[in-house]
Amino acid sequence: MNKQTISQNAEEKFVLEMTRELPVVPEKVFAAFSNFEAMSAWFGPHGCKVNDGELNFVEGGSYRMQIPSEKGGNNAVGGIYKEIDPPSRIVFSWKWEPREEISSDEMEITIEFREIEGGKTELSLRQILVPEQDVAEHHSWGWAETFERLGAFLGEE
Amino acid sequence: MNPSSSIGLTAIFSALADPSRRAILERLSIEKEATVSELAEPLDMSLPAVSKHLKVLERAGLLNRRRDGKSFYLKLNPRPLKEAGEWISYYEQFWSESLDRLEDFLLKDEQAND
Repeated sequence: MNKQTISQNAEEKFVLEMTRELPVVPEKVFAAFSNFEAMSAWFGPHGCKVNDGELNFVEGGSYRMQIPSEKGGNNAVGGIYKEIDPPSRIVFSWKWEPREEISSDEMEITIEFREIEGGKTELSLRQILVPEQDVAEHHSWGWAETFERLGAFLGEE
Repeated sequence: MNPSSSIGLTAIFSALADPSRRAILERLSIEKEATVSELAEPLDMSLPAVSKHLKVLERAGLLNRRRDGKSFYLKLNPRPLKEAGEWISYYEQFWSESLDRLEDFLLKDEQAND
């Protein structure tokens, strides 16, 4: 049930997609995204604790989540809620706060919640990873394949 | 984990966004080194057109150029590709681990309400 893929869309952007089965109904999963207190309890990788931020959970509202950086100091990400459709869909922009060494290109994340058997939820996450690209024609040779082939080369070195 | 590895990624991804440029990289990943005219041959493209593509790849740091007499030899520099791969992995890990934590959070919340 849980899977993740990286693919490439028609505009040559990288797209990260992930699905997860969660043990409660969509309303409860949705609620974990809808206020700062709940969201800061799980947002971020293992060992990471949100230490500041805010969340104005309405369409057009903004959010900001600050997490400690590995190098010391903090990293903060924020954006705007573009769509909120309880309890099934949230779309928001994603942008790291500008720092010299961090690309601050804006990305978009869509999260969908679908009720499945037994009062559970299938959560789907889709993040468009690269915002600015040359507009290129669609073709059959994907990014993933590029990395796979070149990965083999890297392994040889 | 840190998103700082995204330096220059836009240039790398733009460079990779063209099928001819990817064909050049793939060829160099097999042959290690080739001249401009060798690279142009299978592409059905003029030398100036190929040179343009090579310049884009060089600007992204994906190619190294070596001069030997009158010929230029091009070689793949795989480091930026590795960087791009790491950048993608960052997000994969970010969400995968966040969703693990979300699951734990939801379970604890359920137990608290029982």
